[in-house]
Amino acid sequence: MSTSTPVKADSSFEKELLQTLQFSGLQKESLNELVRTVAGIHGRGLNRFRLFPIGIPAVTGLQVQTLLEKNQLPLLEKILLETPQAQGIVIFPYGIPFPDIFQVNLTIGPVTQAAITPAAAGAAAIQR
Amino acid sequence: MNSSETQCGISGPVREPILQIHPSLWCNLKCGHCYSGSNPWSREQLDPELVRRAVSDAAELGYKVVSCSGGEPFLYGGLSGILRHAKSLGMKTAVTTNGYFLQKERLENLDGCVDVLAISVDGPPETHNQVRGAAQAFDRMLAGLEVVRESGIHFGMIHTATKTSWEHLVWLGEFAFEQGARLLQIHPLEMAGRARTEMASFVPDEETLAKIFLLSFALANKYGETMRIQCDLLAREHAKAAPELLYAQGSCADGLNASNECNPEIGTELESAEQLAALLSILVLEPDGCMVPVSYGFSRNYAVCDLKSVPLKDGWRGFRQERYADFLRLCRRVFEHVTRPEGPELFNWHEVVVAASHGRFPAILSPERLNPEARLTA
Repeated sequence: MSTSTPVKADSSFEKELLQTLQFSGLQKESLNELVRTVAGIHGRGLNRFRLFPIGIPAVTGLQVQTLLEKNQLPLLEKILLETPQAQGIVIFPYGIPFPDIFQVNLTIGPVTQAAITPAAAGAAAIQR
Repeated sequence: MNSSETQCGISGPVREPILQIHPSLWCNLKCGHCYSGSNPWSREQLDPELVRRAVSDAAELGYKVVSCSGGEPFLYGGLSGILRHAKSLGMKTAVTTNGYFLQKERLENLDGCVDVLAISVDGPPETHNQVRGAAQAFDRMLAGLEVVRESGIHFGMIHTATKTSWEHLVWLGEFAFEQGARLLQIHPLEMAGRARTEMASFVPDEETLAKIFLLSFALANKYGETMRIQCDLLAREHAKAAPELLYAQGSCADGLNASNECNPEIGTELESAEQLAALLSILVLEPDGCMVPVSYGFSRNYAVCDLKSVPLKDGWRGFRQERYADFLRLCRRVFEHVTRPEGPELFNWHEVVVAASHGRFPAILSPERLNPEARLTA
C-alpha cells in the first residue's frame, strides 16, 4: 500500500455519521444526548447496531437499526420502556433463509434542537 | 464503550489481571503526545533480572498478562528474555511499539513469546509523521506491518485520539482492517507527560469525546466480527451500573465497610496467593523500579512497592495493609465525582484517577463544574 494514497472511501453509514458530526453543527447537549442514547441501548444489552442521524442539517432524531434473533426480542421491551425518546419501532422478519432473525428499526427523537451554525449552513449549501 | 468487563472476584477495568512493564524511557522518537515523556537521550533502564523476578512474583500473585511498553521496548535489551520468562509461566504477553524496529530478525528473536503486538498509529501518513516528529515514521511502520503479517504474530493498532485526529477515525478503521489488525484501541489524548507542553491544545474536550465515542461505536458495528474496537472512554451511566470497574463497589471484602468507609484493618488476614491480582487488576512497573497501581504516573503516595528495595512478593503486603484503603478511598471519591448528574457524559477513568491521585483535575472535571467542598485530594 502506498503511503500517498490512503484507503479510498466507500459510501457507508460510518462515513455519513462522520459527516454529520463534522458539518451538522451539533452542539454539546445534542451530542451528549446521542451519547446517552447509544450508551443506554448498549447498556441494555444491544451490542451491535447502526445509528443514523435524522435531519439535515440539524439533527432532530436518530434511527437505530439492528438485527435480532428470536431469543433477543425481549431486549426491545426493555429498551422501549427505558428510552423515553423512543418514538416508533418497525420489526419485520429478515426472511428466507433466516426466519428466526428480525430486522428492527427504532426511531428516537427529538434530539435537542441543534443551532444551525454558519459552518453547518455552508455544508448544507455544498451538499445541495 | 469501554471493553472492560469484570470477572468474578476481580476488581478493576480489565478482564485479566495485567502487569504493565515500562523498562526504560529510551525511545528513538519524541512523540508530542507521549504520556511518559520518553525520548532518544534517556538511558536509564531496569535490570532485566529484576524485571524477571517481578514477573515471577506477579504470576504467583495471580497476574495473567505481561505487557511491555516504554520507551520503545524493542530498544530494551532484556525484552525477549522477559517475554520468554512470562510465557514459561503460562502468561499472555503483549508489546506496544512505534513500529520502527519490526525487522524480520528482531521478530524471529521473539518467535513464540509474544502473543500480540500493539502498534501506534496517529492517523494518515502526514498526521502520523507530524505527531512522531519523523518524516519516515509512517513508512517504517507500514513496512514493519508487512513483516509482522509474514511472521504470523497477531497485532493490533493503538490510536491516540486528539481534538483534530477524531476526523481520521473512519480512515483509521479502514486502514487497520485492511492491514489485518485484530484490535483497534482508541485512546483519548491525556494531559500527561509531553502532551502537557507540546499538545495541550489538542486534548479532546467534551464534544470531541462524544464524537470519538459515537464513531468508535459505528466502527465496532462495522468491524466487530473481525477486529475488536476498544474505546477507552466510559459512559457515566455505565460507570454507575458497574462501580467495580472503578474499584468503587463499596463492599467490605474490598476494604470498605457498609458506610463506604475504608477499613484499615482489612487485609491483615488476607495473605494468600493471588490476593493482589484480585484486588488490583492493573499493576504498573515504572522505569525506576517503582510499582504503582492502575496506570503510568500514578502518585507514589499509593505505590505498591519499590522493587529496588523489596521484591513484589514481599512488598505487596505493605501496600495491602498501609495504602490499599487510601487507594480505595481515592477511587470512591473519583467515582462519586464522575457519576454526578453535572459530571461529564464520558470520561477516561485512567486519566481522571491518575490526576486525582496527584490532587489535580483533568479539564473535563474542572472545579467550576463540581462542588468545591468535594475537591479531590490525594
